Amino acid sequence: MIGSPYSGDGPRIAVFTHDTFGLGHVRRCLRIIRRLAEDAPDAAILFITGSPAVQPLRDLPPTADLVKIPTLVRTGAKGSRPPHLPLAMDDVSRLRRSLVRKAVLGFRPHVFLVDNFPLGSREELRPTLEELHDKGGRAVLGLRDILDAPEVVRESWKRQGIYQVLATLYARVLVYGFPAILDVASAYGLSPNVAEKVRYCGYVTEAYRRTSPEAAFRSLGIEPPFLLVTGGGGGDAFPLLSAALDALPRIPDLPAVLVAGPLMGPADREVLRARAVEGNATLLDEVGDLPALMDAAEVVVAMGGYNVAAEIAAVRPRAILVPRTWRFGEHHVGEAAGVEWEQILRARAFERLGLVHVIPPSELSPERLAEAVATLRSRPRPAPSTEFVLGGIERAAAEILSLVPLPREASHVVS
Amino acid sequence: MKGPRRVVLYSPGMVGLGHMRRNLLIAQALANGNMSAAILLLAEAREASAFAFPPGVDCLTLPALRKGIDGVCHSRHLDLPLADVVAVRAQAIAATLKAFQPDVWIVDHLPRGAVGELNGTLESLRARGKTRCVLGLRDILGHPDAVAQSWRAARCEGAIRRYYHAIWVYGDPAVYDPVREYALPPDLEARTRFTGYLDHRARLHHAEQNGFDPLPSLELPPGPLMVCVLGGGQDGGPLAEAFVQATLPPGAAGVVLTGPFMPWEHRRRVIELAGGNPRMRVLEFLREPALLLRKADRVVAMGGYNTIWEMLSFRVPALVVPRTGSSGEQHIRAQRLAALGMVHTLPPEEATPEAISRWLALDRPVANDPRQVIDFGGLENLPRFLEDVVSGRSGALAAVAGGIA
Repeated sequence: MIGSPYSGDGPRIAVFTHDTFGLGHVRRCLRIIRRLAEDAPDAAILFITGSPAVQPLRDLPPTADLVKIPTLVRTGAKGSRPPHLPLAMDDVSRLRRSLVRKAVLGFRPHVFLVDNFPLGSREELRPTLEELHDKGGRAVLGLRDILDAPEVVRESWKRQGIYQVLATLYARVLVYGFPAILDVASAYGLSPNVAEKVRYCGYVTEAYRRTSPEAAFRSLGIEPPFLLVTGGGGGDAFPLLSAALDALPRIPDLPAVLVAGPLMGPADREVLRARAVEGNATLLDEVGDLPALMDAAEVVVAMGGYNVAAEIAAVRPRAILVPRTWRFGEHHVGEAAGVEWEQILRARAFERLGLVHVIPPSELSPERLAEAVATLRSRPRPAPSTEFVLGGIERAAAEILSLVPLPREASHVVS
Repeated sequence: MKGPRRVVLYSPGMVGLGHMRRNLLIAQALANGNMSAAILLLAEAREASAFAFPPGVDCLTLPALRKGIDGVCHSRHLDLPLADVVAVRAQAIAATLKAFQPDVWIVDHLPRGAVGELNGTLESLRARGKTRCVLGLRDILGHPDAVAQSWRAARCEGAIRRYYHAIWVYGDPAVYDPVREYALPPDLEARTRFTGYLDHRARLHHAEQNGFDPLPSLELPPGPLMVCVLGGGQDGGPLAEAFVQATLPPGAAGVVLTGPFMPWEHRRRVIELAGGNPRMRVLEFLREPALLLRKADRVVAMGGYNTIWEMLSFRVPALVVPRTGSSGEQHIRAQRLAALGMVHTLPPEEATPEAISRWLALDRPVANDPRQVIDFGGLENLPRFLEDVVSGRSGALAAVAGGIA
């Protein structure tokens, strides 16, 4: 190992995620990257993203590295807008397109995993995908369980020519979900050729690795029973956390733990902190092991993002979801604001499976929330079910590695 | 020229966090100048991800390199031959400079970049003639012999002559004059300007806005605050261990900032040794150590550029225990500042818990106020220097106008 420590004979895997609001995409990619590094210790893994959520990158495994490209998305909570260049969108877009192409093609990956948006933002991946395809690299698309309302997805994919891209430039489509949540092939109208490329992996979550619930609440200095309220990354969690604080006087025997999330703006955070001090509540910025805390909680109140839903599917607490219904910088930059269906559809699917109680945001009030908490407390926790498949990380990593050609084994045969 | 000034800052990475902190501070100064600026930092990922970026600034991160003790570069993380990693880096840099078309490119201390990765880009920028290149140097690069040798090996003078419009030294010749010490030839001397040191108090504003203040959560006992900082922490273990075993003055509290790169077994020993002392805290990393330093009454530190000028910006009395590396950089810095009466210094082998205890107990440990003697105007000067470079007033004429004797 002295001199030139690296052979470069191992698999080369590039992973791309377009910067969207929130932390979900980056976290999901990181989980898969860590698993790839465990399963293939000789792999070189290059993560490419414009996400400003770079803090989790301290979790990159030692055999992975990061190319962070300039950030395009400009939405965010007041006071926590991502850094960006004060330049026209077209300029930044051109820079990104060229950067991704050079970084990916210079790296010469065997497999190129693209998260959720088949062409990235503003088609920035098209030249990269075409050239990679010509050179024999294989592209894999990883899709969240639910993207949006099926008709919205179909319309947008048609407009952007995604069906053609999936048919010609992608070797696989991994779905980080399960058909009982959404049958992707029929919902998005995939051709038989593309439908054959689909693999359901299950939810990408590490919730089953959680520490003991006791350790989780002891380390925070709290005792059960308590109500746990989490707003995911926190960028748009203020209304939910605020409503929960208003509901607390109606459930006086249940103190609350509120998790603001790293993306909540400092001003909102301070407002909540002051109110939490007055009320029967503790406000935390982040917690290390949310699933363990969920496990210890009497009732969990959350929005309906992918990560928290996957954690609920794994932990099975008594849970109330108040899904986001407005667009919040998710999806393609510049797209008009409107109703967002992802969280609503996910919450409904979870409710159908008996896992959660859903309160539509339009009906969210302190009374309604307190009432729902009381109702859930009178019931047992949802039973573990076989309807859901976790294990998304392992299956996704296995699918990706199965696409790496095996020159080393071939050469073993020869020698 | 329409739109904001476009500036790219290149930091080769490879070692520690100092380059990154310096370049972020420079970016902040340029972004706050009279002309609005769009600033893109090129850096390595793990160092870049440790910091918050000021408005108007974004970054591109590159796969990291590592410099071995033999001075040879390798890929730091990716299991790839050096040439492959450098290819990714060099191509990404070339694509950035081509698409972004900056007015000015400021390259930190390596005129050809790490492993010569900037050569191709510099050549094509020269051919296009739209971008002006600036070489940014910290005050002391190393012992003159070591610098001469590495500059010869990397053909630095030729690169500066061919590609660079200006050399900015983030320092003051009153402390160290690299032009004279490194015997720069007259044509390079003519392009050199001293910006003055960077006043790190400017970082507080940004940090306070972002609510990074770590002090409340430390729940320190009241009383004087003794701090030990070790930069990135790669080789700070011995000093950190000596500090946590030192006797703190009566009523004082101690905080050690190990840095994220301190080897795990060193950090563990520091934590163990500190464990018995309820007035001692051990932290791994702070996004903004300035918030700690401004409250400090004494600092024990190694001698890196950033650490030293942070402490002196806040006028905290400092004991400097320089790294005894081959380049001699930290040793020279400590000696110069000790000679100016601004810090105390101890060689590493004498930095025992007892010696540190004695120093912490001194009444008035340092006599001279650095601001009386040294130019700290770097951050105010930088926007003006940038405009001078853009408008071509960066050569000998500007050097004269800048008052450099």
